[in-house]
Amino acid sequence: MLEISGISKTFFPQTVNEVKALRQVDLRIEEGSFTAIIGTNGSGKSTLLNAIAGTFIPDDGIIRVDGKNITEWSEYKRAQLIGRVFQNPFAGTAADMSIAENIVMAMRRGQSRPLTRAVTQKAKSEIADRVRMLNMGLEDRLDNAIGTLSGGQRQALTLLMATWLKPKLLLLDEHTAALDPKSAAKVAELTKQIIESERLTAMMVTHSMQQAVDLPDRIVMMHRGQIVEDYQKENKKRVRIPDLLDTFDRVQKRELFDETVAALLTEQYF
Amino acid sequence: MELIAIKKGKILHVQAVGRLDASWSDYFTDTFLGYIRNGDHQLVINAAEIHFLSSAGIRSLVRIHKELMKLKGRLQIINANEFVISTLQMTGFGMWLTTSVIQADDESSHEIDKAEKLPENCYALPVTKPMTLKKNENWVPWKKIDPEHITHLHFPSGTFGLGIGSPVSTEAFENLLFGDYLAVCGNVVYQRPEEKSKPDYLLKLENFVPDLYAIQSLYAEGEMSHLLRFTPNEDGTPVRLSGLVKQTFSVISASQIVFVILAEIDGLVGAHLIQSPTKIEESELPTGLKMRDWLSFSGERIHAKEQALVVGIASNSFNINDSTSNQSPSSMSGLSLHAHTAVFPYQPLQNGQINLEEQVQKFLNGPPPKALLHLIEDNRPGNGLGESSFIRGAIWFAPVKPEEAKQ
Repeated sequence: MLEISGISKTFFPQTVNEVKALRQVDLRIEEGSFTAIIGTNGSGKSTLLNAIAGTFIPDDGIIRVDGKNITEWSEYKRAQLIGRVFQNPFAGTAADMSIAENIVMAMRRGQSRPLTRAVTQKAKSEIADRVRMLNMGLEDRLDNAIGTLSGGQRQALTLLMATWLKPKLLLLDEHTAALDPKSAAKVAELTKQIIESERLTAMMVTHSMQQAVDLPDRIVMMHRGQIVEDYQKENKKRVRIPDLLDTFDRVQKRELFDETVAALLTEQYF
Repeated sequence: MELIAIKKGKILHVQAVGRLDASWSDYFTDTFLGYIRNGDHQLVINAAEIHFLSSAGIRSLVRIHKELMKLKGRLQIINANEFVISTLQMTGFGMWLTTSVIQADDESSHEIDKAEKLPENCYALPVTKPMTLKKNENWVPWKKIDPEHITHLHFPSGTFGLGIGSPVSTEAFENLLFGDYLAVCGNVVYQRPEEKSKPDYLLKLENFVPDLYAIQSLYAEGEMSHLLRFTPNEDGTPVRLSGLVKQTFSVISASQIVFVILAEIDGLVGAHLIQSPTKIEESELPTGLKMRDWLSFSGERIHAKEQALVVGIASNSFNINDSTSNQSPSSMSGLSLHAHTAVFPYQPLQNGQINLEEQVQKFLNGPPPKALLHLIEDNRPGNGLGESSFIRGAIWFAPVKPEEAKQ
């Protein structure tokens, strides 16, 4: 479904601030799969998602969705295929508009939106049915401004809006990180529920090892702009949080292994 | 709840003030497990000011009691009020109540050889079979391995060893995975030469005697002659490996010893193979960073608060591997020392004299080992990590003489 071949991105090239954010990343995501992207700060997780979403064009490499080369597509053009949920629960909704109005905008994404009444009774009924599945009692508050809701409620609605039209690919960028623990758990549970029921293809950047173990069916670990580990199928099923922490540890240890360590071990190991 | 602990001789008296109920039972349990971890296994609770005792509180006392039983320790409750007395008696736990504190037995009913002047906490052990040492040094590191370099070793009770080996399997020689191992009292812990893998182990069981193929080995056979119990230094600093080994040399007159340590870890510094030497194609030392394709280095002091099972050989006058040897063990703070350690989840050790084989069995029959390392002294100037150190534990040791004959 998604095929990434050799993409690289360097920010501020040839300056003192040069950052090689992605280095020849290859990744193939199957239709209907749910992949978590984990890694240390600055490992390139969010940059990878941004490259897929079209926030920037990579320096090298090709991105294909269903065989179409979308590498040069603009961000708004890719929005026809890609739904996104960001970390900030206030980023995906218009605070002064009602819940129903926000959702109607999401329902009409990619379609023409003429000057007609947006929130019809029929639309409202459909919205209420879908919002009910969030189990937050919001179906009775569809006319309330979305700005009056808590962060967790807004993020749950953002998730619903992003998946309303069944995008080819759903990108979740630390979408529970700014929520309190209870709301984060609720939104994580809804994420799994929606992705499974709608059979979506999704990629989720997260710092939560618990979510990485519990929610997706694949875990990709990044470090310094490269994929350093890929847990799939049986390997994913058996992986536990300590295994992920061990892998982080191993990756970092390898970095600490410099010429002086090599000399030390040459002298002392055998 | 407030807990005030005062040590009187070998007994730790703890005055408990408040309610021992569901709100405080976890805190109460954790605090007492901390006392036990610190080596206090004779505990007296002054319950005069325990105003309430619920089932959660009793469960907490049972947990502490069970932990102490494993260590041959004792829990006593004094000055309990009517309510606590009746609650404990009705629930069948009246045995903890006492009117006067029973003095601690010496937890070790050992017989010290009076002719031998030993430091406090050091015990001479009966020896019928002195320790001998054999070496396999056929393989020269970084040379291509030849089947002739491999020695088949068996580890019955009373054997100790460390080196680089592979469990016996039906694999062809080229597919054998040689990794670091240690052997103690007829049990082998082996680290597959992969970054991701956990150590595996072979335990002696009835007629089964663990065995492996080794390309490099130090193989000792015999009985330990001494046991030394150790705790943090007077200023509370942990005990360094070299310091501990030097203490053993001050106890016995020997130029070379074999030792086993069971101890709570302060920090370990070490490395292990992540690629089998069978993969060596060209007989040359990997230079610089290519070394990290072969060895994983701890990079920091690791496994604090867990339990180490160390097997080692040390020399204070000559290199363990004599001048004809191709091996060059670490020179740790003036000692020639080669030690491997397996890391286990923490379990407290009983105080006093304890039996090596029983303790090793206890660990190997518990949760599996988490890591195996060849210990290194990181003496790099500026950013060196130093050497491995321990908080408290036991070291068994014996003098050894190298044998001429090869295994």
